[in-house]
Formats: sequence, structure tokens, C-alpha cells
Amino acid sequence: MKALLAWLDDRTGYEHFLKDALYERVPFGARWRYVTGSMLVFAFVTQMVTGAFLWMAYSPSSQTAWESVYYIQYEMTGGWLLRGIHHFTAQAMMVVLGLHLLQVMVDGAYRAPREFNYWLGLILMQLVLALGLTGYLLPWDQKGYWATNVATTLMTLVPFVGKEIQALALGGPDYGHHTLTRFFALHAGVLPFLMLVFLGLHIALFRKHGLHALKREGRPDDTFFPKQVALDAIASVLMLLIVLLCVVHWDVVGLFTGTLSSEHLGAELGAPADASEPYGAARPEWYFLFLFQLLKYFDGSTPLTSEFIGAIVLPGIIFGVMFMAPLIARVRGGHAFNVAFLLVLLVGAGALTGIALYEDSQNKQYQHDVAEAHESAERVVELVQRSNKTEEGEGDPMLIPQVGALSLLRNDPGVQGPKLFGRHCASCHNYAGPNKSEPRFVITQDPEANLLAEGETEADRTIKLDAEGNPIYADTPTAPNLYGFASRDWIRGILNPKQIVEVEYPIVKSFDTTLNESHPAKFIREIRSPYFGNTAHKDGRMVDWVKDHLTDLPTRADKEDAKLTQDDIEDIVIALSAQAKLPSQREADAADAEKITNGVALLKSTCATHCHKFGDEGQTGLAPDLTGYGSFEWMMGFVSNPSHERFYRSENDRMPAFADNLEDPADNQVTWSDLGLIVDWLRGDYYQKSAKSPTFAHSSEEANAAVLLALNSPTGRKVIGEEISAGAAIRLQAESLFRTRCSQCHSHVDKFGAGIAAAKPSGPNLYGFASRDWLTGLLEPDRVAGPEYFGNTAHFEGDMASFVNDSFAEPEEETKTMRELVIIALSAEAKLPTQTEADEKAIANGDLEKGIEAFTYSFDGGACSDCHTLGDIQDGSDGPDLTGYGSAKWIAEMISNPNAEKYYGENNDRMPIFHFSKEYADAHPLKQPLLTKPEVALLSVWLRGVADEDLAEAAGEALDEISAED
Amino acid sequence: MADSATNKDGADPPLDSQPPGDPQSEPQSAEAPTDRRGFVLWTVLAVIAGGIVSMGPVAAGLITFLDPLFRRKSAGGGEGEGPGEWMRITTFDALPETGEPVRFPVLADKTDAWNRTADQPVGAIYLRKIGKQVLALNAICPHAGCFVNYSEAENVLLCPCHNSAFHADGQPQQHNADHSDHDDGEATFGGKTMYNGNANPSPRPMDVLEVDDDKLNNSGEVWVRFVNYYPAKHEQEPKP
Repeated sequence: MKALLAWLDDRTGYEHFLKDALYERVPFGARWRYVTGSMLVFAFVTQMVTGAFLWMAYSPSSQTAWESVYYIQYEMTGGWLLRGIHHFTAQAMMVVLGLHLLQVMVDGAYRAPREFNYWLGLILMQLVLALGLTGYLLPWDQKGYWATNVATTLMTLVPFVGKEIQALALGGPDYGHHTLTRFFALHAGVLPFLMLVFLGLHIALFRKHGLHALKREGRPDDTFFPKQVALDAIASVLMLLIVLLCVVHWDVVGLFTGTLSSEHLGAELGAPADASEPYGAARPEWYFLFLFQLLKYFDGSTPLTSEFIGAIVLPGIIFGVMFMAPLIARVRGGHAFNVAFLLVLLVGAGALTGIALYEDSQNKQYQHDVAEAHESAERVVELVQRSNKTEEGEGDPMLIPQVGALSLLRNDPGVQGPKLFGRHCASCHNYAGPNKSEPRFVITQDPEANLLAEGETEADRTIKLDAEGNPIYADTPTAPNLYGFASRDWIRGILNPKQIVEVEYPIVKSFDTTLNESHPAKFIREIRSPYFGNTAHKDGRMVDWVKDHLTDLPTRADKEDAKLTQDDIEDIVIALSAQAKLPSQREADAADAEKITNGVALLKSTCATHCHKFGDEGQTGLAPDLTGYGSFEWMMGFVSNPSHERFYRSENDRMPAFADNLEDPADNQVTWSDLGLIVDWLRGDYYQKSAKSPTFAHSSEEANAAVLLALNSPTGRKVIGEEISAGAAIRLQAESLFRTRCSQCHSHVDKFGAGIAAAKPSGPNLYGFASRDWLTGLLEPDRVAGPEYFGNTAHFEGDMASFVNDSFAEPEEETKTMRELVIIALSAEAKLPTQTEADEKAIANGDLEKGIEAFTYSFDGGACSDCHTLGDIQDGSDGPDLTGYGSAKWIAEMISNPNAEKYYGENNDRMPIFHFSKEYADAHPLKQPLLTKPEVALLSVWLRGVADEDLAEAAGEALDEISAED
Repeated sequence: MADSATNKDGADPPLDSQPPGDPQSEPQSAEAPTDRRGFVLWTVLAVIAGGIVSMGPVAAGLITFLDPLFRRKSAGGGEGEGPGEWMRITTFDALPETGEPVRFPVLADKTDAWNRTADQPVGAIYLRKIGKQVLALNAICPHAGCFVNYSEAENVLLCPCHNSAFHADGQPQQHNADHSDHDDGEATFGGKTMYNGNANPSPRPMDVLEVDDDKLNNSGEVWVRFVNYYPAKHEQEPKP
């Protein structure tokens, strides 16, 4: 071993280095006051180590920075500890740096011959501050973003090249990817490298000059090792300990009981940076707070107090004086001046920091903003961690979509709903529930007041009084309180003769006690009107009806033969509220199925007789349609256009149509997706932390579709809890068959999107199959290869599609006429019940006959008869036989076996054989067909649009027809 | 090194004296070259070659680093009309009759280095209805670039960063030496306000943006020419 070390020493001379390092002389003995330098080295090494590991998990770009830091903080094992150490060691470094500077200054260690080392130290200090500044931005949260924003804005104050410096720092005119890449390169590459270089020089010069010690007579010298090394090590351990305590926010109890709350886990991560979201809690890190506070005083009111002076010149001068310290020390009293200067500086900075903290502690708005910032930071984490909760515990979190975490906040009704409500609705509607911690919007009103005359101040302002001495207010109408809209409580209230017209004007006292009693601020009043009390509807029919019919109702027990009882009204309330499908009432709705059924019947016989429409009963145009009342679709329609005939029509009292332009949605006051966020919020239809499964807000496409559906399509709206007729039950059966067997490939949706949409459309949309409309679309070049028809099948470039393209790309008049006739004839083959009249007319005026002739007409792409058979015309047989096209039999046979020679033959593209022929079934007795014969029959008549009540009969006939051949 | 290797006793030289391993003692052991012309020539060559070797990569790096300076967008909004782009913000009807400022996000296609994303919020503006006119203010504080908040209670636009306060028309609240009568003009019914006692550090009023009056009168739509100006300057200087 000894030989090995001797060899090593011979080749490297390590012993000399080691001894040099360890046995540096410490004049007059080791002391605590020399530990700061070593502590800084230790802290810097800690930062390099933790930084390197953070680097391995960090991704600098505006879509991934926050996201990767989130992942470190919340998902990676021990990530919060790593981040916490890095964060708090940086702060510890600032403190120790201050102490180090103080020690050097007080002890005079900056004086000749150590000037250079002092200057190196100043450079190192700048580097440490720069590391702090650049590191603050990297998590890309609101806090870092806005604080750094101020710092980079100040760069533009530098004369002549300010803007250029800013552009270089940001990597462009605005914050973005390149701001992060640059800041990160500085923070993790350039600055640490410079640190190492200057630290090396600093230590080398320190060694060269030796330790500067104050004389302490009678104390023997020490060597650096072991006593000073031990002191340094102990101090570093203490620092690490304090850092670790900071990391757990001094929550030692929590640490040892394993109950550390998430706020106590390391450094905070705010909500993701958002350039369009104001951030009132923007503050720099505490060690820059004094500069922040200083800027408040440089307000540009005089040339001496311009911002340029405060942000650039003054710090420049201060730093200049500090830089000159070794030279100043040469003159008499210079050293004393230097020490005093630094002390004044530190005390001043401390005072400014204190003032800044004090001002913030007195600033209610700031406190509010900070609380709000915490809330949105928590909310975004909640959204990221949405998961399916099982009984065993949490499932896997949904994490963050690729577009970034900001999209979660921007599309969250819980966050955006109140903001948008405040912007668009709160000037007329209150939103005020019993729970004070929820967002509240209450309309307030100032009394009329005199205008101030010359020389008068606010305190002189007085209110106008009426003859009785009461303040006069303007007549401001307001709309119903939307808290809990469509819930049982809400509906109960509107059916209460008293509440429906209730209106109160409580005075809210001003918080300012210095104002005299007649000051208007003392008479600000709230307007609280839960329903129609402050609208034109207060004299309307609804109010009359409620007063006439719902006052002093008997209970069912009291009077069995009463036309309407309290219990009936309760059932109506429950049934109407059930239409909204509110998430908060899911359990209650499920439990009250019977009451809902009863209530629906009562609604039809009570409300849908004269005014409202409800399901199939009643009519629109007089009062709002109650079908789907309070549902997402209904509310989207209502808010988009309350004057629509489905809603208030001419009875609408001043509610604006927020988005009624269906043709050009960009012209609407509010976008549909914003309305969707408001509606989702009002309905409480958004993810709550306690929810068992992740809820996703309606996408903007869904919001658009809901409006189209609400304002256009009369179909697709169902009454919940309705007793269904026998015919409707059969229709539901057919729909369910289509949904399970066909909707993998086919849709069945009308032009407004109502109906059954395919999961992944790959066959034609079968709504209105074989009707003239359907065929018209098929013979349009634009549409035949689109998703409604052959777009997603092999047929999209097949013979049919080329025929349509060749023939009708730029059709002449004659071609158009012939096409029209073919459509009439072909559609007539189907004998659709919805088209009986038109077909009869075609027979009468001879169009049908002409159409059959046109079947052989030569279009540019050929004649129909080249491929298809139609009755007697039997020239071609590649395509499906069109005899009886669209009839129940035709459809049933096509469904049963599209591979049959008569239909697609070998041209069939992936459509399964749904029902076997008798021979096939006999040969394969174990195979079950996908659809039974009666099911095929039912589907085929349903596809023809047969009315509910005729479905059973038509399906029976079709069954007979297809069974006859067996 | 040969010197210092022999010095193994571990006792250090006295303070401030030169340690034995000082490099200054080194050149004496090497002999100065005698050929003067050769020395000059080789020196020149070494400087040139060394310069190329060290400056080449640095220059290449610097050029890319300075890219943002070469890439500044022309600040014109088309047809030499001045900076900014016309954007449709909302409709006239959407603004409250009371004339209080309402904040609207400004959506535009945003280019962020390699990403181009449609309809991103790129800023925000305050709109006020004043009779048949609309006043548009950029929500960025002209002091240090924070977002200005509107405080309904005091009818004042207040920056949360350094307490710049503006009237609803964008004019800065007056700052007086004794900070007593900030509460002039439009700050109605306010009573005590938290910016009380602080000077107003903003160098200029909030940035008023141009509103298209034709479109406003004809179609009731509010179109604003959206421009961001550099904060912290007395004069408006549009950002590229």
C-alpha cells in the first residue's frame, strides 16, 4: 500500500497538493468567522449536483417547461426533495454571500494586496445573482414568468442598446421557447462555467495571499486541517440542515408522522405561465425585493427620480463604489467609509425589503391575488391528476395533453366559468348561493349623487334624496339569480307565488368609516331578486299562473280529488329538474324514477297544454320549450339566442342573443366554446377533486354541435322519465340494434348532427337512405367521396365515384335534368313512407317514367345501366341490382348478405354477412348469425324512416317477405 | 514543478511572500530564442493561427446567438399605416352601458420560435363604452410590463406590481409630493384605497389603441389595432 502511494506521489505529486491544501496556515487559530467561504463552495457544489440531476428531467420549452417541472415535483420519486434542496440552497447562498462580503469588508480583507481577489468576489456575486434570476424563470410558472418579465423590461432602460439587449436575452421580442432555451443555457451552462473559472481564480489567489487574519495576541497559529476544516464542515452541515428544514417548511412533525401536506413539499410550483392572465401576486424572490421596492419610489415625477435612475444608474453607482473599495481604502478613513457604506447598504436593503413585505401584508388585493394564485396552482394539479378512483385507491392520473398544461386551465369551467360569467352575465344576473367560499356575483347600485363643484372633494359628495328623505336610485332591472339554475331548489322557488316576484334591496355599508353619514358610499345597495321580481316577466303570464294556481295548494293526503296538490308540484319540480341531468343530482334523480315519471305526465297535462312545449305535447313560440330544460344543449341554445322561437321569442326581456349567428359564428358576441364553459360551470358539470372519475369539459366542437342541435333540429330531444309508447319502444329497440351492430361503421345522423354517430365512420351515413336527398348527395362529386358516403370505404375511388366525378363535375343543364329524373325514379323504387306524396306526383306527371328511361341515358361517365340492373333493364350487373332499391326487402337482403351476386358480389368492402342463408346455416350449425331474421326486418324498416306506430306492422310484413323465400 | 516537488516540509512561507512554486521563476530556466527575425515571424503566425482557431467557433456561435436582432419583424401593419394589426375583439353591444372598463383577451396566431398556433391569447385590452365611441387601452402597464387590474370598487386601473394607478381613461392618477390627493377626478366613492400613500411610478398614461370607427358605426363590431409598446419609456415605442 505504501509503495503504491509512493508510486502515485512520484507520478502525480498529489501529496504536495494535499498538504498544500490541508496545512494552509491559519494565523491566530481557526475561527468561526472564516467559515463563510467554505460554506459558499459547499453550497455551490450542492447546486451543481442537484442541478445536474434536475437537468436530467427538465425540458426547456414553453409547452414542456412547466410540465416537466410538474413531473419532477409531483410524480418522480423524491423529485420534490431534489427541487426543494436546489431552491432553498440558492436562498441560503444569498444569505451566506452577504455574510462573506460583510466579513471581508469588516476585516479589511479586501485591501492591498488582495484587491484582485475582492474584485473576483464581486464578479462571483454578480454570477450568483444572475443564476438566481435565470433560475426563477425556468419552471415557467406565473410567479417566475411575471417577476422575470419586470426584470427584462428594465433591460430596455439601458441607453441605446436596451431593446437589443432585451431581444438577445429573450431570444426574440416576446417570451417564448427561446427565452427558456437561452435562460436555461445561461443557468446550467454558461454561468456555472464562469462560476467555476472565477471560483478557481478566487481560491487560487486566496491561497497565494494566504488567509487574512485579524491580530489576536497570544493565540497560536493553526493549520487549516483539522480545526478550521471541522468548523467549516460543521457550518456547512448546519446550513444543509436549515435548508432541509426549509424544504419541508419546518413541518418536522409532518415529516416524522408522514403527513406532510403537498404545500410543505419543497418549492412551490405556481400555475403555468399565461401571457393573457393577469398575475397580481407577481413578486421577485426575496433577495431582489429591495430593488422591487426601490422602483416604486422612482416614479419619474422629477428627472432625479426617473425609472432609469432607479433601475440602472443607482445600482450602477452603488456597485461602482463597492468596486472602488480597495482604492478608497488607501486614503485615510477610507476603510471606515467602506464598512459604513456596506452597512448602510445592507440596512437600507433590509429596510426596503421590510417595507415591501409590510406593504404587501397591508394590501388586501395582494393577499387576495396570492390566494387566487395558490388556488389556480392547486386547480391545475387537480386537473392533471384526474383519475378513475377505484376502491383500492387512485388510478393512473390523466396527466397533461401534448398542447400543454395551460390548455387544462383555459378549458376548465371551474376556472373560466366565473371569469366569463363576470364578463358577460354579471351585469344583469346575480350568482349568489349560501356558500360564501364559492364565487359570488351580486349586483350593487350607487344612489344618485350630486356632482362635485370646484374645490369640493370626495368627502363633500352627497346623495339626492326624495321627499321622504330616502336616497334616490336609478331603476335598474336585473335578471334571475342563476345559482343552482334548474336544480330542484331553483325550480321549487320559481313555482312559489311569493319567491317568483321577490326583490330586495339591502344596503351594504361602506367599509370606510371616515365618510360622513350622507356620503353615497354609505348607501350602496344590493339588488337581490331570485327570479322575475326585477324583470318585465314579473307582470307576465307565468307569474299570473303561479299566483292563480299554486297558492295555498292542498296536499295529496288532505284532498285526494284535488286537481293539483303540493305533492304534484313536488313531482313536477323533480321531473323538470331531472331533464337537466345535473351532476349534483345524479343520485337523487336515480332514486326518484317513479316521481319523475309521474311528474312528466303532470308536466304534460299542466304546463304543456297552453304555453310550454314538453316532448311531443304543446307548442313552441309562447314560452320556453321545457324539453331538455336545463341540459347543456338547452342552455347552449337559450344563451345563444333567447329570442329563438324555441325559447322566449317575442317575450324575451332584454337578454342579448350572445351567439345567434349560425352561419358566421365568428361574428357572435361570445364564442360558443366560451358559452360552453359558462354553461358547464353553471351546471356544476366540471371536474371536482372528490369525483370518482375524471370529467372533461365540453369541447368547442361539442359546444357548437349543441347550439346547432338546440336551435335547429326538432329531433333528437327526448324527455327523461317519459312513459314510452309501444311504437317508441320498438324504435328504441331498432336504434339499439343499429348502435350495437351497425354504428361501428355507419352513422345515422340528420344534417344537424342529431342521431347515432359512428364511432369511426367508415360506411355511408344511412339517415334517409334511398330518399331523394340521400341520392342527390350521392350523385354530387363533392360529397360522394366525402365521409357521408364513400369517403372512408374502398368505393371512394371505385367505379361509382369515378362515374359521379366524370359525369357531374361541371354538369350542363340537360345532364342536371337527367340526373334529377334518375333520382326521382330510383327513390320511387323504395316507396318510402316519408315520400309517398312526392312519388305519387312523379307517377302522375310522368317524371317516373322519364326517370326510368334516363337510367339508360349516357352521362359523360356512362349510363347507370352500364353497371346496374333496374327491373327490365338488365344490361350491366357489376353494381348492386337496383330493382326495388331501398325497399324493406332490398335493405334486408343487402344487410343479410352484401356478398350476394345481386348486391355487391365480390366488390363488397368489409361489410359483414349479418344473416346466413339457409344452406349456410345448415352446413354450419354451430355458427350464430350476427342478426336474427326478425332483427334484420326491424332494422330495414326503421332505416326507411317508418313512423313509430307503424314499425311493428311494417317489420312483420318485411319478415314475411324475406322468410317466404326460404 | 521541479522546485516545488522538493519543498515537502509542509511549512508555509510567511504571509504575502512569494511561494516557491511561483511561475514567474520558470522562464529563467528556458533560454530566450536568439534568432530575432524567426521570433517575430513565429509570433505573428502564432497570433494569426491562434486567433482563427479561437475566433472561428465563437463567431459562428455569435452569429446564431444574435439571430433575434436580424429577425426583427417589420413593424408595419400593412400599407404603411403604422404598427400593429387590426383585430376584431367583440361587439359594441357586449360593452356595459355604465362605461366601466371590461377586459378582453386578444387572440391571434402566435409564433413562438418553431411553433405557430392559431387563436392564442397574445395580450389583453380594456374596452370602455363612451357614448357611441369605444376607448381601447392595452392592459400592459407602461411602467414595467405587468398586467393592470381593474378595481371596480374604486373605478381605477391598478397595477399589482409597483402600484401604478390610472383613471378609467388611462391617464395616470396624479402623484403629489405628499401623496394626499391622489383621489381626484374619476376615482369616485372610493374612500380609502390601498395605493394611498404611494407615488405613481408610471412614465406615461396607459397605451390607447386605435379603434375602427367605421366598423363600429356600420356593423357594431369593435376592431382594434393591437400594438404592444415597450414599457418603461416616456414615449410610445411599438414592439416589433
